[in-house]
Amino acid sequence: MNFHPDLAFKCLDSSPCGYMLLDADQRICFWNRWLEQHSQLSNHDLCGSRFTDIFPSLRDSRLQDTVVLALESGLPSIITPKLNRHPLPLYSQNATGENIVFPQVLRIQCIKHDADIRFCLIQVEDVSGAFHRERHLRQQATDLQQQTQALGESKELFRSLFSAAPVGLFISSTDDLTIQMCNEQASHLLQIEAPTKPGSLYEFLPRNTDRQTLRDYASTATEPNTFTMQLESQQHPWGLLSISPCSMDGEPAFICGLLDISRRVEAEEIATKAYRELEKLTVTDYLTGAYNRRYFADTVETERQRQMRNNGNIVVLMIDIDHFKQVNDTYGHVFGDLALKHLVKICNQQLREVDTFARLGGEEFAVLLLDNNEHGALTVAEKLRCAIAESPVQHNNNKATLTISIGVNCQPAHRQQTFTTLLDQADQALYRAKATGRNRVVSFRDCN
Amino acid sequence: MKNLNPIEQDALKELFNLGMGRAADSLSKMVGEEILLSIPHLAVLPPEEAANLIQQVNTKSVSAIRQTFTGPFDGTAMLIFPESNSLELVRTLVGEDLPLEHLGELEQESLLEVGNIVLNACLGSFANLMQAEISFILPAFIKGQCLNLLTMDNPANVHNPLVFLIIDFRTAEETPTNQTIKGFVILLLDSAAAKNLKHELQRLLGSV
Repeated sequence: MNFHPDLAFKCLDSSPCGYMLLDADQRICFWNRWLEQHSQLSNHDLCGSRFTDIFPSLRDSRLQDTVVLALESGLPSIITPKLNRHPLPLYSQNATGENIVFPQVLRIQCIKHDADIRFCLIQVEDVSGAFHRERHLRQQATDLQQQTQALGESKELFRSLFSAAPVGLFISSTDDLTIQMCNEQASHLLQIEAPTKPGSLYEFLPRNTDRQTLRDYASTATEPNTFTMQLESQQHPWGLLSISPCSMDGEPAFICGLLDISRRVEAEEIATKAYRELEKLTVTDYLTGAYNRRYFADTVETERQRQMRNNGNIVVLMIDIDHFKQVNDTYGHVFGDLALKHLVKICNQQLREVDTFARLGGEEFAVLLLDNNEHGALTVAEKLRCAIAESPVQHNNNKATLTISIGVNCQPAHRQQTFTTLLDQADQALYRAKATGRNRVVSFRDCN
Repeated sequence: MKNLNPIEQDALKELFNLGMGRAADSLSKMVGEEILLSIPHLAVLPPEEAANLIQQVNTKSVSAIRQTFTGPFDGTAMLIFPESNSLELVRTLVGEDLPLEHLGELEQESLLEVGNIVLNACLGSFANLMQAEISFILPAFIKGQCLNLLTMDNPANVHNPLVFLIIDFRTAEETPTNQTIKGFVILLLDSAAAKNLKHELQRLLGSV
């Protein structure tokens, strides 16, 4: 083997670490190329100098302590960057091009040569890579922590909104609408007794709820939808349920809002009732409750057009109370008014729901019979005449039997006669009835 | 070494405690606050027993700093921590807090340095006592099952007793988080070393 001691130093020169050899007096014997590169100090210049003279900052440093320990006791040491306040003044370029002292791990050990001659070898390793990795790791962990915190905060916000909302909110499964979580308002409206384990929405809806519509929607739902429904709660009998498909922990789910619309529904009901009453007031006669002339005219016109399409008849009766002036004169106007009401009541009892009975004015009345003919009209008229004649009017001690005369007019609708004409013709028949003795029925057809 | 009697064990403990004083000084200088080190307990145990004492229930692995030596006799010194203790120690000493459940790369290096100081204190005292020219190898960081670490040099003889020390690390500062962190030092000796150790202890006690 052709080994020369210089070869060992050449090996140390080619190492990607720093090697410094000190003798027993802590003088530098060798300073390898890597150290030369990072310190700009040459081996040649340093050899023979005590290392603490070259680097005064290292006097009484831990490095010197460990050098002494190695030389005196043979004990090896390691010095790491985080605990080391006095690194060797070795530089490298950082990412921004500055020359900085890089973080180092130093290994100090005793090298024995012959029996009693001791040297100290210091190995220097650049661990900036580990620093970068650690910084990167810390950044990642901090980011993750922030994200986790932000997520936690938004979850917390969601939870507060969910529970504080004045609207009932719950999340349900898509298949059988099992409620997975619900807020206080929802459990109040639905009267859920155990909000922590609610069960299916269907359990909390009244028996008459249209479950099929809900089921049909739930089975195919892609878009939000709303349903107005009755609730079990007596204080909150009406709810507006809005359902939106959503995703919960990766599973399809519904987020449902339940709004108490009981007051609105109540107000609507009141408004509808008021409207109907108002409507009735405009089409009826104030005294008797029978329809008024205007409504009668409108109804006749509508019926005429309908019968034109059906090629049917339009049937009108004119009714007048016989000797009504005498009744008024004998018993007074109060009795007269009662007599009019009495007549309306009796006639309405005899007529069908579809027929229209109206007061045209004074003691004059008219009837529109639907889907009828001459014969039928005469029969109805006769029935009315008899009914009136058979039920006297009574008030206090007064009692009077009324009679009525009726003019019947049945015309095919296609003749396109006006309301006035139809009524006029019926009036002619009525006149004939009066003229021929009253308390009878006469058809316009028999007038000519 | 089984026959190390209580008086000899006490003497050995005192010897190591002196060394701990020096190590504590070094550590205190490094971290800029007073660190206290003490050895409350020393025993001679078979490895299995020592492993049971160190490896608490539920801890899968331990961290160790290991330093071997050769010369007239061979041996190994180890400073062992359950992983949570090692994290706590490093983060107390270095002050930084990596948001990790395990030791980071540089934290591991720092722990290696701290362990080196403690082991050097023990081995320095040991070498002085033994009056022998011993060569020490640089420390290394290892992780693993405690019993495996204790028997890795001589897996055939798991019954060979070892010197077992409990070490308490404490900061002098009175803070609410001021806790004692426990570590364990193990001294594994070959039979020649064990025999010499008893002999030297007797000489020491006799000379007192």
